[in-house]
Amino acid sequence: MILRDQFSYAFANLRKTRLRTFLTAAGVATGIGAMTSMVSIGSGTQRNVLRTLNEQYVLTSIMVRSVHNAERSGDSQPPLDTSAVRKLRALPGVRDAFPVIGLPGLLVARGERLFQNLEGMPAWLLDEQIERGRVELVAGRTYAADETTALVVSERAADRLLPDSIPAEVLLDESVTFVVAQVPDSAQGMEPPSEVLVAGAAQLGLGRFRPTMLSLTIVGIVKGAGTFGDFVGVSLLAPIETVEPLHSASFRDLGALLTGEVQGGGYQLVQVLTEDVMAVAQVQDNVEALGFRAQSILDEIAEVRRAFVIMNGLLAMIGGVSLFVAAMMIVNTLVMAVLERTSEIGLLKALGATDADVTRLFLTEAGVIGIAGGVGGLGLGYLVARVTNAIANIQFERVGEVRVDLVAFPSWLMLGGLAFALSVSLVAGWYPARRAARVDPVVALRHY
Amino acid sequence: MPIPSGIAGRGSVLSDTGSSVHSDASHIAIRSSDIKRHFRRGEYTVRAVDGITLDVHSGELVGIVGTSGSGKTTLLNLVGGLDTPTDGHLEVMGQRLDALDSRGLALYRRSVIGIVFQSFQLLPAQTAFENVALPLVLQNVARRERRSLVETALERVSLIDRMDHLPSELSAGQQQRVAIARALVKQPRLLLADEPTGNLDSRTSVEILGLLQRLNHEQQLTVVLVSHDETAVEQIADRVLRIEDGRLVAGGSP
Repeated sequence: MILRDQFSYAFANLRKTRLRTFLTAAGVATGIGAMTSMVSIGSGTQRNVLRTLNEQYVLTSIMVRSVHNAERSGDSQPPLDTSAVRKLRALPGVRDAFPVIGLPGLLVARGERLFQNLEGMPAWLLDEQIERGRVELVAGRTYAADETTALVVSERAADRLLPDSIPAEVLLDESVTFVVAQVPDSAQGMEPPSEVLVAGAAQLGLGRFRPTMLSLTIVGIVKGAGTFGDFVGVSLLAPIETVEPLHSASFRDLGALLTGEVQGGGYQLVQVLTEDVMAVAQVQDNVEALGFRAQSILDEIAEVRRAFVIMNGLLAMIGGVSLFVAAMMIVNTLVMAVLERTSEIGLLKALGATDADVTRLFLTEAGVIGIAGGVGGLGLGYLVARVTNAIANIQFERVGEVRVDLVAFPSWLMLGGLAFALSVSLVAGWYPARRAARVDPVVALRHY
Repeated sequence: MPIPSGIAGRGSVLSDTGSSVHSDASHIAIRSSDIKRHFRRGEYTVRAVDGITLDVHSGELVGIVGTSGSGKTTLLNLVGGLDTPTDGHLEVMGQRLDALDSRGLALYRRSVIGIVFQSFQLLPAQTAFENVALPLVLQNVARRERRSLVETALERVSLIDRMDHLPSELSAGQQQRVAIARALVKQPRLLLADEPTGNLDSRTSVEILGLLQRLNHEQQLTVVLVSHDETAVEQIADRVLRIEDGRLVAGGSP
């Protein structure tokens, strides 16, 4: 029997018992509706919480150190270098990975010499931090990744360069120089320092190193700069692409400068940002599998993850109970249909229907009920979720909270709901269908 | 029961009982050898068919008569592949039915035979056309071809103008003609009719028996007709088999 005939036969039979079919499909719709509305609200809540958590870089950050650098325990560990960063960036669930580079040096501007730390920050990250309100753009603009001469300064550094009465904006588009102390062989291709600067470096005890000058232009002034905000005291930001080439021959901090300890080929620290909080555990495992030490505040948020799993499970279970009842209704409906149509089944078999044909006919009927119930259930679930959302928001407003959208109805939920309705109906229809297939045509035609 | 002129029988042929001798095996439609169908009912064994040996030639119209419970319907069910013999050898149109599994029997019923029942067995919610088309649906015949075959079958039973009617809108005789059209639509090689006039008045019965005889004549269709109405069967059948207590007591040989 071809599929089209199978469906027309199923529809014809279901039409004969319209009310029963409608009630059974309504049962499935109630189950699917209960389940999807619960999962929808659960997913919506999870989405809202995760969105808040994901905006906290601390929660989506994994700080990666090479075991060698961190513990100085043997030379067999992989170096945390450019190639390692590429590997980290390619891990699933990773949004970006970049070395944390802070170069100590002298900012020379307007005749002032300030000892500052220049941090390399990916252009996208600076933009996103401003977008999320974590960093305030006081004046000017941010930079693009390929703007190798662009510099963003902190409002605090700007204040030190200007008298009180002059607004920070005057620094915009101003050319400045940042002097980095490096070991001599590493600054090839860079502009040679002026004698004045060499002398200045010598005054600070940097004379035995080669000062490398970066000619930069201030494009923006920010408040609260730095990957983790203002507390690390970062005052200058440039694209990571500008800072990275200077890293290997530079010094980690002032102490390292005085002891002559250069950073070398590997990075001390690489920051890995995951796509969301839920991905941290897996990424951390993968990073450690590469041989690096990875630290995150995963342990602190593990409870959050567990709570989501439990909450979604409980919500789905409530819906699942309704769906179980609906499945029983399908079994009941089809068993009744088998009893009522025993003679018809006998006739079909007498005319040459195989057991498999009869099974398929009843499963098609079950499937049609399931799909009809599933579609209805999705509509019902959406409606219930929206009404719940509206009621919840009225309550939020009453207690002075902001309105939030508690409902998430993603495509996976719709497709999953339909697939689940179909699966449940087919499983429920299996017993009646097999029972129909086992009907003895002789008995059926004689007694019914 | 009188048969109208023009479709009157060729006369009954009552033959000797016992095992038959077959002169031309290629024209044998049904060949059974000592087939049995026994049922266990608690401690008792019901011997519904108890060692029947017979041959039916292609193109024959054979009537099976007997009292109620004599085993004639059980024999028809065995030949129709609706039931399987407990013992013995049964071959229909060259196929060993006693060796077929459930699926094999279903395919046999689908392709080789057409069956007509006493109670018509029409699906009440489907039109005459849809009822007749049912065997073709099971055979996966394309819709366009299906229409033409159904119309031909309905024309053959003179019901083409009632094809869109539901069974409830047809008389009993018309319903049985629809059932006959359903049996014929797949162009079977063997037509089995189990008490086809059992639910009909005498006039309509004559009409239906005449139709079966005409089909047998015009298309050389092998017909096995089970009936308790011995007189009517004798008037149209080439041969009448009489069954008593599951045994063939007359008509086993052509």
